[in-house]
Amino acid sequence: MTEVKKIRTVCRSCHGGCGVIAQVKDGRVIKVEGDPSSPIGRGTLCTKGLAITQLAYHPERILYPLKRAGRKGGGKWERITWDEALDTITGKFRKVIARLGPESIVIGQGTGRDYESHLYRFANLLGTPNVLTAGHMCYVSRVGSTLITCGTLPIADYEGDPKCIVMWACNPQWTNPDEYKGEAFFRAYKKGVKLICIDPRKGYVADRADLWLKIRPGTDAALSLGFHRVIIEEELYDRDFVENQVHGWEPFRERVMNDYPLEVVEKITWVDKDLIRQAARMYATTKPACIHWGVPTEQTINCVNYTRTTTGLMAITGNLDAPGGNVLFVNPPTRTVAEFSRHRDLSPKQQEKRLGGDQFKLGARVALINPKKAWDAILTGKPYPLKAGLLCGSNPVITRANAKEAYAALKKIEFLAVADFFLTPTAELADIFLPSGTWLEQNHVADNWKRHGYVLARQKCVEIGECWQDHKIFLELGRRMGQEWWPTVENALDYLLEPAGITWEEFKEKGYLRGEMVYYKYKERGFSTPTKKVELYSTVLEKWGYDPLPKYVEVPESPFSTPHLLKDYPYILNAGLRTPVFFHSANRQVPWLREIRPDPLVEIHPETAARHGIKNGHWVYISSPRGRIKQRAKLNEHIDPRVIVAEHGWWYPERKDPGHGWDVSNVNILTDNAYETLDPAMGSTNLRVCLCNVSPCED
Amino acid sequence: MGKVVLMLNEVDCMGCHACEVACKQEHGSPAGPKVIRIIESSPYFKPLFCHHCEDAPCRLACPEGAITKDGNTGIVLVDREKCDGCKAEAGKSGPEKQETSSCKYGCPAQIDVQGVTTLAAKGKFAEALRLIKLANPFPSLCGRLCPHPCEAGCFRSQIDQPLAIRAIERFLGDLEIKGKIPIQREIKSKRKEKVAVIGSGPAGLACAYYLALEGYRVVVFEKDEHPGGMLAVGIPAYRLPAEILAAQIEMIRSLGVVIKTRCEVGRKKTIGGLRKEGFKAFFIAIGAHKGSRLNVPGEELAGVYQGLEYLKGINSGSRLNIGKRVAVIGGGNAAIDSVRSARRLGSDEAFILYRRGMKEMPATPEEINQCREEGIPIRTLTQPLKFFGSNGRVTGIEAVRMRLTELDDTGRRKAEPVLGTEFKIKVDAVIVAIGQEADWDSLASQFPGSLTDRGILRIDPLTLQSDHPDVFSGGDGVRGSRTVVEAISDGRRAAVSINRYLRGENLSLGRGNGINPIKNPQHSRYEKAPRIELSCLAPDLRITSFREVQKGITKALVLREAKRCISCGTSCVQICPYEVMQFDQPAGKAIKCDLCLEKREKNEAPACLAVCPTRCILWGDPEKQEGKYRIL
Repeated sequence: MTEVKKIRTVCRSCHGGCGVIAQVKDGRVIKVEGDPSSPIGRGTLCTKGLAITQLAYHPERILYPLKRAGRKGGGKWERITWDEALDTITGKFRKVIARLGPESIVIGQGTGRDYESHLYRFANLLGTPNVLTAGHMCYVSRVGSTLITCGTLPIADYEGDPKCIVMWACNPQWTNPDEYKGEAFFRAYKKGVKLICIDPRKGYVADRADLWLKIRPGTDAALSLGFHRVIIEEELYDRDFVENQVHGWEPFRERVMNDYPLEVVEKITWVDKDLIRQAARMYATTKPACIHWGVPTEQTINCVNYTRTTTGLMAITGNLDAPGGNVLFVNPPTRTVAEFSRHRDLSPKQQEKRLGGDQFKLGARVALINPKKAWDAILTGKPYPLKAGLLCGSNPVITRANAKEAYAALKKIEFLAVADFFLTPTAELADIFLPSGTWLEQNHVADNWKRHGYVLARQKCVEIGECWQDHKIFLELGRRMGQEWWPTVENALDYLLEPAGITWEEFKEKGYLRGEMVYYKYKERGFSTPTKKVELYSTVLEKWGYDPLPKYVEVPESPFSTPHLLKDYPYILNAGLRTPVFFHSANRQVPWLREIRPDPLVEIHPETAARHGIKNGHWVYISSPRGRIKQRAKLNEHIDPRVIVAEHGWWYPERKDPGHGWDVSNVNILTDNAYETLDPAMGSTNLRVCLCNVSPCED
Repeated sequence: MGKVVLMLNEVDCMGCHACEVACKQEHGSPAGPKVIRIIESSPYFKPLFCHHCEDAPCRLACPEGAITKDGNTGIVLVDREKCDGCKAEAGKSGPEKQETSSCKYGCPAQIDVQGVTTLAAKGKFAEALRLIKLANPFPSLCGRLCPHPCEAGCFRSQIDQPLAIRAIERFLGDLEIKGKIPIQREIKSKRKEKVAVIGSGPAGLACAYYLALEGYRVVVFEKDEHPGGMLAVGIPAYRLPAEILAAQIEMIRSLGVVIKTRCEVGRKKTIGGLRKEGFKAFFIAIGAHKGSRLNVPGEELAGVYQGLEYLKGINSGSRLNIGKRVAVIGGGNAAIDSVRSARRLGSDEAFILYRRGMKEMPATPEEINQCREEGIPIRTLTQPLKFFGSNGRVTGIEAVRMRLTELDDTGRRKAEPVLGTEFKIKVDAVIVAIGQEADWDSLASQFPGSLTDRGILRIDPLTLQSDHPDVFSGGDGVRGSRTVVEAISDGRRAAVSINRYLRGENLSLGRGNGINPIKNPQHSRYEKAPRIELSCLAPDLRITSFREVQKGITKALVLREAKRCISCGTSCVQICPYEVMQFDQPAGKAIKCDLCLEKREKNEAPACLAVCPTRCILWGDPEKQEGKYRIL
C-alpha cells in the first residue's frame, strides 16, 4: 500500500481562506479535511470545499486545451496542445492590437480563483484598460466606495469581541462574505451579543436576532440614512470622533435631517419607524458594535450611497478601527496586488480609452468596466469595437444582468478564449478552451487581495490532466506577448513575498502570515483620504462631478418608480438567493452538492402562491419585462407577500446540448442592465431587484 | 475508549449541510442515501444523525441479528454480511425499501409491525415484545380491542389475505402476563421531577409508562374506584377479561408508578394545588365518559338507561336483568357492547335501533358480525321519536323510518325521516348509547381562556401542549371517543413532550415530518399461504356468560402466521426514531453511521463534527457533557 501524504493548503471553492489538509495517495487527492491550525477556518469546511474531489475528478471536466471544430456555439471541439492554444490566442491578440489597438481586447474574470494580480498584470502590460470582472457589483465596489470614504474597507472585527452585531443582507452560515466565515460570526454570537438582522427574508440569523428589520429589497441606503437620523436626533454619536475625524458633518447632518425623517424612511423601506429607532439605538449605544454587510447592498443603483452611508455609521458611533467594531486590518508586508498588477504601466492614453471610464469614474478608479459597456462595444462597435476576449473562470451568460444580451455579445465577439473547468454555457461560445486547475492544483500566496490581514499558503497537491493553474496561463501568455514575467509561477510568488523577507518554499512551511494589527490608526495618521478624515462629504466624488453626499435613489424598477408595470408585474423580485452548496454558477454538476439542491428554488409567500394556484414544489414561471424562466416553488411565510425570492446561477450541465439550459432557470434573464439602472459612479449592476410576476407551469 | 455517541445542540444547526458531504467523502459514498442529513424547515434546521441509542431500537428490530452494539463504546453497527435488507432481492430490492411498511403506517401508535412479525417468525418472542413496547406498552389490550388498521393495508393481501397481526400481538402480550417473558423494567437514570397524570385510562397509563421508563416520579389520579378508565368501565369482560386489564395495570405499578384511585382532580384537588405539591408537569387524560342524550320525550322514564352507565354497572359486578325486550339505541361499539351484554344477562329479545344504514355504523365489522352471530337483530334506518310508558316506566318507543340522502358536498349521506312512517315498538327497557363526550366541567375553571369553543382544553395537535406550558392533554378527553390505540399513541406522544419540556428542549423539533408509506412492495417470489383461521367461542356458549369470545392462537400458529410477512419495508430503517437508518438500494442492504470507525482508531473525531462550523455536533460520553448538549 502506498503512503498517504498530507498536504496543508487553502481552499478556494468560494472566496476561500479556509485551511485544508489534503490527503494524496498515488498522485490523487483522496480526501480533504479542515486544518484545525487555520486562522480562518479553524478546522471547519463547507460543502463546497469538501466536495472538491468530486469536482476535480469529475468525468466531464476538460483536462486539455480545446479548439472549436465547427460553427461557434455548435458544441463541437477538438483537442489541441497548449502551444497551439496559446499561440492561437496571442496570434489573434497581436492582430487585433495591430489593427485596432490593445483596447479592443477584453480580459475578464468571474469571482476569481485568486489570480486577479496575474490577470491585471497581463492586461496592463498588454495595454488594454478593458478588464471585465464581477468587481463592479461585488466586493471591489465596496472597496472602491470605502476607499474614497475612509481609505480602505472596514471589516467586522469578530476577534475583538463585538457586543452588538448588525447582520446586513448576509447569510454568513451559507455563503462567504469575503473576509469571514459563519464560523467566526458564530463564535462571536455565542459569546452573547445583541444581534440585529436586516433581511427581506427570515433566515437563521433573523430567527435568532433581537431585532429583525424586514426590509424592502434594494432600499438599504434609505434604511442606513434612517439609522443616521435616529443617531443624530438622539445625539447618540461619538462627538469627539465627529468633530475631529469627519469631513462634511454639517452638510451631511443637514441632508439627513431635511430629507430623511423616519416617516419617509419607513415608507421607502417598509420597516416600522419605531423598529428603525430601536435598532439604531441598539447599534449606537452598545459598544463595541460591528456591521457585517452582504453583497446585495452593492448590487443596486445605490451601491456607493449605501456603502458610504453605512461606513458613516461605523465612523460616527466610534466603531471605526476600534476593537470589536469595523476595523481597517493591517496586511502583512507582501507586495500588493496593485503593485504586482503594474497598474501604473497602463498609460494615461490607454486609461482614457477605458469603456465607460468617463461615465463610471469610481469604477474606472478601481480599474473596472461595466459589462453592458463591453456588450455594447461588441454589438454596436461603439465607441470602438471589442474584437477579442479572454475570460477566466467567468460565466457571464449566467451571472450578469440581462443574460440574453450577454449571450448575444459573447456569441458575436470575433474571438473568445475561455479558461475554466467545464464547458459552461459561456465556454461553449469560445474559440479556444483552456483547462484551468482547481485550488488543489495551485501554488499561490492566497487571499493577498483581501483586507483581512492575512496571506495564506495555497500549495499544489496534484496535477490533473494537462490543466494549468490560471496564474501559469497568464504567465505563459504574457511571456509569449513579450511581457515582463518570471520563468515559473513560483518565481513570481517569491517576488510577491520578497518584502516580507520570506521565499515561497519557506512560506509553504509557515502556512500563513498575518499583518500586525494596530487599532485606532487614524489617531496617529488620519484616514487615507484627501482630507485625512472620514469623508461623509466626498471631495473625490465632488471633483468628479457627482453628489458628494450620500442619498437614497429609488430602485429603478419598483412599485414606486414604475407603477405602470405593476399590472403585469405586481411583485418585487429579490434575485440571487444563495444556497449552501453552489458558488454562483458553479457546482451544478457535483453529485454530492446537486443532490442537496436538485432544482432551483423560488420562495413565494403562501398567500401569494394561493392567489396563483401555486403549491409547494410546483414548477412556476417567473416573468419580468425582460423574459421568463422557471424554478420550483418553495413556500415561505417569512417573506413579504409582495416579494418573490429566487435563486441565481442556474444552468443544467446534465443537458448535453451546448446551451446547457442557460435560459431555462437563469434569474438574469429577468434582471436589467440598462444604463439608467446602474450606480452612476461605480457602474454597479442592479442584479437584485426588479418587478416580476409568477404563474404555475402548465406542463 | 469509553462510551461515545454523537450529540446535538439542537438550536445551533444552521443548515450548511457540510456534515452530509463530509460523511460521504469519508466513506466514499456516491450521491444517494445519506446516513447523516439536514432537514430544512426554514428558519430551523435539524441534522439527523445516528445517536447510537442506549436501547438501539434498530438492533431490537433486526430479525437477522445483523445490528450490534459495542458494550464498551456503545457504538451501533450494521454487519453487512448478515444484513439481508429484510429479504431484499439482489438487484431488485424493491423500489421502496426506504419507505414505511403499510402496517406501521396504518398503526396510530406506529408500531414497527414488520419487525415484530419477522422476529416472531423466528421465535424471538421476547425481542418482538420489546419492539412492540417501544410504541405501545399494552399489547394484550390492543391484541384484543384494536380494530387493527395495520391489517387493512397489509400487502400480503395482494397475494392472498392480510396477516393476522392482532392475534400475534395478543399472543406476545399474553406471554408477559403469563410470566413467560419477564416484564421489562430497565429504567433510565432516576429523575427528581414529579409528573401528575389525570386519568388512568389507556392514554394516561401509556404516558405514565414511558415517563416512568425515563426515570420520572409519576402519580396517576383516578376518580373512580378502579383504574383503567374506559377499559375498566366501558368494555365488557367478554371482550377484555378483567384479569388481563389488572395484569397490565400491575405492570405499570411495578415500574414505580403510583395510582391513586377515588382521587378526583378538579374539585378539592386542583392543578394549582398539585403544582404547589411539586408536580412539574401534567397530563390530563380524562376520557369521554359523559353519555350523550337523545333529547326525546320520555328519556327520563324508569327503564331508560344510559349505555355507559349500564356497562359500568355490569363491570362493577351488577348482573341486573333489565327485561326481556331491550332496545339499544346507537350504532357504535358502546351500543353493540350494551346489547350483547344485555343478551348475556337474559334479555333474549335485545335488539339495536340505528338511524342510518348498516354501512354507516361506526362499530367495527367484527363487532357487528359477532353481534349477529349471537342472534341479535339490528334494525337500521330507524329513529326513535319518543319513549312512552306507564306508571313512570318505559313500555314502548315511537319511531320513524329513515332514508339516506344522496352524497353531500362532504361525501356523507345524511339520514332524514320518511314522513308518515311513524310506528311503535314495545319494549321492557331502553339503553341509549349514541356516544360519549368528555366532561371538562370540573377542570375547565382551572384553565380560563385556554379552552376551545366546545369547552375543551386547547392543545397543540403535534405536542399536545396546552396554553399552560406544563399542562398537556390527549386521548378521548380532547378528541372524543376514539380507539384504544389512538389513546395509547397520545399517551406516548405526551410522554415525549413532557420529557422534552422538563429538560428545557424544543418540543416540536423533528416531529410531525410525516412518514411515507410503501406503495409497490416486492412480492413476486412469495407463494400463496392462506391466513390462519381465528376461532371464537361458539355463539350459544357466549350468550350465557361473559367468557372471552375471541380465542388466542398457539405458538405454532404464531410461527406459521408470522412467516407470511413479505417484509415490504426494512425493519431497522422504519424503526429508527431519528430517521437516519438508510437503505442502500444498489446493495440491497441497510447502511448507517459507523461513527467513522477508521478515524476513531486513530483517535480522530468523526468527519461530520470535525467540519461543523457551529460545533452543534459533539461526540463523547453524554453523561460527561454539560449544558445544552444532549442526545435528542
